[in-house]
Amino acid sequence: MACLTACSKLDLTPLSEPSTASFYSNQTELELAVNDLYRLDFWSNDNEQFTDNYWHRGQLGNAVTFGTMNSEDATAQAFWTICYKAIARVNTFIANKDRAAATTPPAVMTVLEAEMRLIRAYQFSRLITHFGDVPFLLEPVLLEESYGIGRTSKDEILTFIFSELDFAAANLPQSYGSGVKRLTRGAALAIKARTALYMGKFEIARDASFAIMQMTGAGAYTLHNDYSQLFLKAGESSAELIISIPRDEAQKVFTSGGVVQDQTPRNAGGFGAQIPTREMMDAYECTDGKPIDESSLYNPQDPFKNRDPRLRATIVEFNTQWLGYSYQPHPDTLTVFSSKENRRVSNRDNRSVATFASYTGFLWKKGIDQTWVDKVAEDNDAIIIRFAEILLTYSEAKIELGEIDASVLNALNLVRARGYGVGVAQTSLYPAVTTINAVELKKIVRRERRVEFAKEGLRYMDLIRWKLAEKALTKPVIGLPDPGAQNRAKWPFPGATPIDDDGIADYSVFGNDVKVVAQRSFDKSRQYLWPVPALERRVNPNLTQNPNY
Amino acid sequence: MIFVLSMILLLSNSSFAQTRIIRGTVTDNDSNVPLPGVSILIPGTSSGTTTDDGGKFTLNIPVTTKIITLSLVDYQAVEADVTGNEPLVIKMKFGNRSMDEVVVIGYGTQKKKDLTGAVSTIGSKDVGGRQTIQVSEALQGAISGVSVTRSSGAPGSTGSILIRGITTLGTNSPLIILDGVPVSNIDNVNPNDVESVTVLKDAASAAIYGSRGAAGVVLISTKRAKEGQSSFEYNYEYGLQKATALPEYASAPEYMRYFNEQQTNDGASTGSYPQAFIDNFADSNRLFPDKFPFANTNWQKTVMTKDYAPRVRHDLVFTMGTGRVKTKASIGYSKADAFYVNNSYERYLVRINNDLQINKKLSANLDVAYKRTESEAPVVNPIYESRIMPSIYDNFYSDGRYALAKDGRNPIAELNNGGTTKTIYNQIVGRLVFRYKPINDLVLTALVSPSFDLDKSKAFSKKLSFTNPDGTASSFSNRPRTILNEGRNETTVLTGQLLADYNKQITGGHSIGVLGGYEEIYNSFENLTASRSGFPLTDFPYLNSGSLELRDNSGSAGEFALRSFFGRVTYDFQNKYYIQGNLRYDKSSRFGKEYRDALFPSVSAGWAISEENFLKEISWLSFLKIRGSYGQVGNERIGTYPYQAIISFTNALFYQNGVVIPLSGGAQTDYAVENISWETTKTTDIGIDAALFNNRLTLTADYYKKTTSDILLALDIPLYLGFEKPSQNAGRLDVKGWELEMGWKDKIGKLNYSVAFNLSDARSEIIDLKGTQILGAQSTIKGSEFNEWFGYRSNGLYQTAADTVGSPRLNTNVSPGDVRYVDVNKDGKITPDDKVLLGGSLPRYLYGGNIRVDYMNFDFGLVFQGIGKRNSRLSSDIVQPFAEAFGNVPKELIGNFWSRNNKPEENLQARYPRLSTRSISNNYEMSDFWLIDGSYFRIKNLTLGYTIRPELIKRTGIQSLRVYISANDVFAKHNFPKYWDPEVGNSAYPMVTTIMAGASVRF
Repeated sequence: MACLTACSKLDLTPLSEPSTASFYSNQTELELAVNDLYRLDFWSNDNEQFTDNYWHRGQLGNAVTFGTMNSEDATAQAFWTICYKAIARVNTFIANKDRAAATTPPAVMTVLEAEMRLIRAYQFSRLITHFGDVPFLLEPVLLEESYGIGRTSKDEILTFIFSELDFAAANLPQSYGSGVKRLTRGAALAIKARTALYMGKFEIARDASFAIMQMTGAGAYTLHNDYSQLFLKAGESSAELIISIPRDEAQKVFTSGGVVQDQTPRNAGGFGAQIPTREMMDAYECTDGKPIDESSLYNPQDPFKNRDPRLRATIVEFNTQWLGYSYQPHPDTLTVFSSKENRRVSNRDNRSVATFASYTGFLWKKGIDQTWVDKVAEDNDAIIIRFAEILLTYSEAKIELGEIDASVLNALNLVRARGYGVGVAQTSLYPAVTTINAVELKKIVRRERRVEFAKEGLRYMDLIRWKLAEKALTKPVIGLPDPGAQNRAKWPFPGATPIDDDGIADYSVFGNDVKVVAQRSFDKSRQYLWPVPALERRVNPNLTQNPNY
Repeated sequence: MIFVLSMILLLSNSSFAQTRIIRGTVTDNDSNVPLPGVSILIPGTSSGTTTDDGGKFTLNIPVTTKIITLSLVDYQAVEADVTGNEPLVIKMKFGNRSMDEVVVIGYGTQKKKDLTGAVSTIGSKDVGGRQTIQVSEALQGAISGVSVTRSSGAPGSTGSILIRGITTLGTNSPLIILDGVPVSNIDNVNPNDVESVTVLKDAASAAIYGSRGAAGVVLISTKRAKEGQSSFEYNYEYGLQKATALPEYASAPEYMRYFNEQQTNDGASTGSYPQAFIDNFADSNRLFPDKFPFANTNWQKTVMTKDYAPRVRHDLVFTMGTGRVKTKASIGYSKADAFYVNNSYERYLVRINNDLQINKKLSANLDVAYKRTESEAPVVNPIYESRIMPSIYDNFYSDGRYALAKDGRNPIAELNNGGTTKTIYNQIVGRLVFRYKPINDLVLTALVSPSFDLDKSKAFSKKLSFTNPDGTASSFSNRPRTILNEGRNETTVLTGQLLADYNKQITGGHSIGVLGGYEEIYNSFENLTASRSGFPLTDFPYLNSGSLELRDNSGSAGEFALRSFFGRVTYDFQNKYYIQGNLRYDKSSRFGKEYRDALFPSVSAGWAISEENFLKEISWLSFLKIRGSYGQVGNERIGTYPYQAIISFTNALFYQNGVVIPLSGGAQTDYAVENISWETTKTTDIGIDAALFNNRLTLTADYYKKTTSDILLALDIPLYLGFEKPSQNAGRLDVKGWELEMGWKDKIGKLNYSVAFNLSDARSEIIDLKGTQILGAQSTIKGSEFNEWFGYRSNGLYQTAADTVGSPRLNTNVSPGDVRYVDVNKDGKITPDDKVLLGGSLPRYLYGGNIRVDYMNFDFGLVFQGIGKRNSRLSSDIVQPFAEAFGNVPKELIGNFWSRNNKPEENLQARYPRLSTRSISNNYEMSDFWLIDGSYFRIKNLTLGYTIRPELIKRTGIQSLRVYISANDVFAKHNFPKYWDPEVGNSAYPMVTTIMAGASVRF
């Protein structure tokens, strides 16, 4: 009688996916669990728009630069959530991996475990650098138990991070040869070096970066010879990259539409809305190694001349062909030549023609190429850590420790010389650093980090740890004067911008020769740490909040 | 179909005992007007007939028969002697007998006066008569305690139904039973095929549906042929739909001025648009209409090319009831268009209901229904696009080419050529019922009903190229690539039932009914999607014309099943004292083995006081019953496998020898709570049913309290657990409410009229949530109402800088003209900790009613509906300027926002905050600043019909012809800005007023 329709059973399990009851039972399933955490979702540097390098004309700012960050901020909550998602997955993996012990070779098991522990340490590193003290979970937690959890001091977590990364460094290969490229010993050391630098543990930063610099043979790192190529497809398998997450349009990991158009010229079908700031432009030294306000080589009417070549690799130089069109924002340049169309076209990158052409007059160049406008999509790999950062971390750590020696200068000059496209020894072709003055060196290494890593998401944590955010992020965003108000004799810039010892520019001296396009503000009473999400504290009142949120 | 036809042929061969034919006419006792549709029955048999439109009937009766019984809604039943002269003239007396109406209940029927639970019924006039395309729309305001919420008037749009407010925190839609079989959607049936809609509101009535009855049950019966009926009917209706309200926006120069004001408010030294652009706009617009920003485009007019969108319906109904075979077959077609191109809804509904009398003891129903809807809509919402786009962006160049508009985002080009989504739903339902009557008083029923859904969708988003004003090709396009997404879904539902129903009248006035049943339901689904992008040509929306490099696909499947036993016992003594008990035992595959079983009991009782001798004398009291009930029902709709943690597959990318390779990843994303089980709703209900003044006035009132415990819900868990919110049995919700239904029905000479009114209220309170919360602009926390508004308490706008300094603020940017919040916790700063509950978001005091008048050949109807109290949020689409950083400025703001250009006394009157992007995170946070009184009153339907007398057209073979004009959603009174409709929250398709004319002709 119980068979009226289809003799329906009641013990039904999902048809299209496995469930936890049976997972982690063999090597393949362990690998699935590890692979999952290599996804782009779990890896990123900070948003460059949190800094004085990058500005969004449409949004004007964000919770960081508006100073509106509060405990319901979606960005902070998403960041927190994704870190803990990865941590929970690692914890579940570690707790259950022995189910597969019988069928998985111990050597394989160790490497998988080391990868997982590295990823978990990376997530904790991201958490403590942004939130300070956070809940410290190392094994799967039952829901009922989770409500009693409080915040653990960041120092305790930091100690753990270092020991986990040591385990990973000891158990991961330096290279995978012709196999699938996964996290390496170098990756573990690089995260250790970065975390140590951010947390002011300069000895550890020095030692970890030095260990990477000392590596030889397969898997050793070198600087890519061409700075601008490094950020394009050509650089994606460079030996400079320590951790980079592949992105590929054919595999559906890519960005398209507005975000891409925001960074490309209006002549080429973009919007010119997400743009470099004037401060970014002015941060590049002249070829004599001096800041623009000190160098005699600087000419405000020809600001791209005699500058560190990384400027032209990062920001589109005026009057050059860019993505098929000559880029010239001068208000009187109403038409420009297009190499793509082989004729002169109306110049939509000029505010006399298009009201919303770049307000600062600049466009990003770094990492962008013709494919961006052809496909209105980009799938550049996400570079998380590259060797140049290790060199500069080494220099900075040593400078902070007062251990100024030739290795400090060499590390700095390696990065610098590559920016000029020359060898470190060719000191006549680039402004090699020679000073051993600690104060000077500190200024130089900070300047070097800003320009070397422009648009790579490192500036935000630098502003935070150097305690410069309260200065840099309270200055207005500077744009070019409106076309009608532009003094043609002072095109594009009225003079050399005064820049202080912290590298912060001051445009107040220029009056109406520059235009304030937006205000920034940064609340130093609270913003050096992000707020614990309000949701978290409502669910678990045991969690304390960071000051003034 | 062939099967049905051969059955008909087979059965019509059989012959009956010796008979004779009688003929007659039935008329109204007072007016002598012929009465069509009177049911005539030969006592002791199931055979009979129905009068035609002229009130005439012909009936084959056994020679021994001396009496026939006649019945008709609103008339007193009559037993007529058939031994007299023919043609017989039988008169029937008007008298509201609504208490004797038979009402469909769970797995059976009952007379209205015998009901002991809270049950409401409406008939075909209240459903089909509302002239709506969807059944759900017709229920709006029709039944007390039933709320229907609409959110748009788009072609094919439907309403969502709630019974007695909310019951749980998850899915609150009621269980829909169509002719005894659960269905997924109330709108799969043609409103004109509906005979009655019954709503089981309390747990006692719904308990027989056990784990699916918590949110109430809606029982729909479709029309079936009656003995002696024979007709062919054609209905045609044509309607025109007009938007009830359309928002208005700032003019081009106003827009530029406000945009500049916003920029300078945010710290820019000057705005983007030079003052000369604004001052000389009229001249510039005339001289350089193709140059940005000198266009002055009315985007809504551009996109909505039709002020009136047509809508058409055809219905063919075939009815035949002869002897052993009764068939009712209908084919319905409806089509609705939109105010713009490329958006339409077409629906075909076919239904064949057969009643077969196989022999004296065995009968069968064989029903087949087919539904097909085809809808098409643009891939990009043109309403939103046309509203956000400021008028400074050009639609067409002067020579008629599409302009670039906003850098290739041109709503009219996108609408006309940007591609559409086409969706086709097919549903085939069969229903086979065998009824066997082994002995008197006992009926055994077996039902099998398979239902198959086959759906497909095709979304083709096309890339468009544009030209610059000078004719050269532009670099801008609407989207990077042409993309085709296709989807296929298949669902199979099998329902099987076995019922034994025993009813016995015992001398002395005892009647007993016993029902026992078994039911099983199995549901499986599978879906598939595939896509390609990069189509070199945009005219071929098929996957194989896309690029091989950029293709994708996915699929999933699932199944669930339910197995149940249930029973009902009813007893009454002399139609005075009633008692009823229900029990259902359910096992659901959705739960773990140990947590799968559930028992849902209910009991109800009634006392028909008016039957007592001490009240019988009161002549104005026709009927009075008090009743009370208590019962438990459950809810199982919490996903298919909530107790299991699924491993989701992902893709991670790696390099191998410089080549990107994808490797699969897998992770548990949800936290699994293994002991998940049913949630239970207990309802206590007290009600009265009364009829007064010879049944003219009927009145039903109920008070109820329902408590839902073990609510299954995805509650917020600590984010640091690293899982998505799991469903857990998490708490308790109480709802208290009351309902009132009143009706007056009478007749003055030839004028029949009726008035009905209903009013209800429900208020929810969260008693416990196990310490967790659901937080957002609408929050559900302990002590709150369900989805109560949650945010800051506002205290006007800051007027001066002196006010802001030192005042607790969300952040230091908060300036004069921004919304000021109250530091509720008095810690000297405004933080999310200052958020408080701001009042319920659900509508209260729902009411509805209708007035109907029939005079001679005219019929008139009016239906209204409204909400007495509601806290509504003025959504960003209504009042927030510069959406997406460039969007339009709603006209409501003009002259009403705080501005540095205003005089201080003007700013004191300002309703809206200053224009600022930086302050969005302060000003547009949820706060009581944005709450308004959202109550409304609406005329839902007006209908005037005229039926042409049969005599006039008889020669043509037409039985009757009715023509009518009708209008839906004619008028609304509300407190939203004038250009906004109270039922719409955002820039969805507008609500529409529909004006219709139709005719039905019956042969």
